[in-house]
Amino acid sequence: MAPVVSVEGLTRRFGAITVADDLSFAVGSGECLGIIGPNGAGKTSVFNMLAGAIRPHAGRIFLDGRDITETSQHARTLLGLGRTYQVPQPFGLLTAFENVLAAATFSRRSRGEEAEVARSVLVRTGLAARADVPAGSLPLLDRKRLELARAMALKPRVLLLDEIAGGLTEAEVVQLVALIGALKPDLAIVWIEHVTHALSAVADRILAINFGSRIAEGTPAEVMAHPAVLEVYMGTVLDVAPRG
Amino acid sequence: MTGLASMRPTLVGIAAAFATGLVIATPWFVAEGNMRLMIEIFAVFAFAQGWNFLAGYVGIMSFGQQLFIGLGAYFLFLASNWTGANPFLILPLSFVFSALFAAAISPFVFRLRDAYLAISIWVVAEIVRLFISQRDALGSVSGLPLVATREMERSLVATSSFYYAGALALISVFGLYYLSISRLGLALAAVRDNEGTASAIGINVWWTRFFGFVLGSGFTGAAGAVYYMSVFHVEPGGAFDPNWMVVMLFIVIIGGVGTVEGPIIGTAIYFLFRAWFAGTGNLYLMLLGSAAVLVMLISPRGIWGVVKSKSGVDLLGARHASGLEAAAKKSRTIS
Ligand SMILES: Nc1ncnc2c1ncn2[C@@H]1O[C@H](COP(=O)(O)OP(=O)(O)O)[C@@H](O)[C@H]1O
Ligand SMILES: [Mg+2]
Repeated sequence: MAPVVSVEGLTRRFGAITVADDLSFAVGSGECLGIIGPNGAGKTSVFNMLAGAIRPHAGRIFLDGRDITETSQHARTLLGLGRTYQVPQPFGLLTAFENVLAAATFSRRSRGEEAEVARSVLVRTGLAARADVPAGSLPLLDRKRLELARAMALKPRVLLLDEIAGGLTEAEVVQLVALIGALKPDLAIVWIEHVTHALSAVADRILAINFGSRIAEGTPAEVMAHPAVLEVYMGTVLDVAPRG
Repeated sequence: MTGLASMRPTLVGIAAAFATGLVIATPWFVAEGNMRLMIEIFAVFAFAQGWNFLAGYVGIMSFGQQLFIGLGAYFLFLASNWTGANPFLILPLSFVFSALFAAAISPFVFRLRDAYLAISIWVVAEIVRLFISQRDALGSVSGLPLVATREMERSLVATSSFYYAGALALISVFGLYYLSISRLGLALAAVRDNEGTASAIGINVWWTRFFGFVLGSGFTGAAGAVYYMSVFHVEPGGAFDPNWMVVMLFIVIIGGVGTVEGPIIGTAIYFLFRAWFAGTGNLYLMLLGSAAVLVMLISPRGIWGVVKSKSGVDLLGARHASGLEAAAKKSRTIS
């Protein structure tokens, strides 16, 4: 099956830091690619390039076989790309409902039923009771839920999820996994996540990166057991443990 | 509650019809002198609402909106004096001219952000003021009279000016309300709150800001034309006076930026202050300044911001009610 979204040779640096080093991957409809890697590995930067917020220095990005490397950010959304932000970026003075309504409206994929789509997305993400609260005064966890709600309201064909499970209780993680599992059949999903058991429950494949380059790729079980991944994660654990 | 919220656009429509009727009837009941004062109040209110629209709804902070007051006024005077056209008929073109001018400077000023953008428009205003001051064909420093109105009947001029000023005031209240709850209003609010996220949901940020700037500045131009048409004379030092900017800031900050109601309160306070203290010279300006600082210290969202949050009353806010919270509360009490 032809991939919905793919990147070839994606490369990008910030000064001396390489956040993407000749990365290539492809995700088809109904498929979920997980991305893991230590903090600063370049995961969010890959999303920024996919979404069009920053430009790669080399490499191409394709959506439905069409080269969108030079396409502007809002045009990519109209073509079916939807993202969440790791650090929530709501429209602060607008209510949760208006945030999601705006997404349903301007992605132009819910013509005539924007309000219904917005309401149903808020219910599915557990925000119904907070619908009329300004997003800027929501607690962090609700603002993270709103990230997912807004991305869902776009009705994207490619959904980019950036660390949406962090901070949730175990029961909430189970709900989240069920929700993303329910979305999955109609979409291509790329999910960056540190909560690896949640990721493993949904992802078909996982890509592990460090310093912007691929260190492992395969099924969740393969990647979690991969020596290079273990080394990186053990390394971070050992780095962090004495300080904590 | 939800029922009332969903009926609000209709209720506002009834209020708008009532207010329009009031404006239409006014010339039959109000003396000409008082009508002149009302024209001034309505025009200044429109200046303030134009700036409030840019700062509070579009998210563009400009410290140079006197530019468009002057441009709208000069366009009207020159176009009427040169062609002999009736100024009341060509007044809407002042909107078009000011909007086009805003469109023309957008590619340059939009390269700048925040304070630099704010100041850059002021700089443009000063350049235009100097340009006009140095050209005899444009009346130079002593300005221009409005020739066409000399031969017109006084009461007709007063009534026509009043209707234009009334239209500005009605648009400043009801037009701004309906715009803010429209699709465009939602796009403007999204861009105002977060440009990155606005792009990420499919909004073309540059064009949205551009459209907001052009619309707001065009409106200020039309208001400038009405104001100076009603006094029959325009000069560069007055029309492009940065003090206009001070008045707009005072009214909007004291009343509440980003609200329709705030500048109504702000305008009332401004004209009351002026009536009571205008004779006191510098003291008057110090009072204006202290009042603005005092309100800012107590509430950055102005008097209406305080009233709204304390009382929960929101008359003309740009809210889209979800209808979900009431349902959620109901199901919670049942279970
Ligand atoms: N816009 C930017 N300008 C400069 N440096 C950046 C920018 N965005 C990210 N970085 C840097 O790139 C590195 C990778 O960041 P990021 O992609 O957020 O990593 P991750 O999501 O894997 O934690 C970090 O060192 C970060 O500081
Ligand atoms: Mg990240």
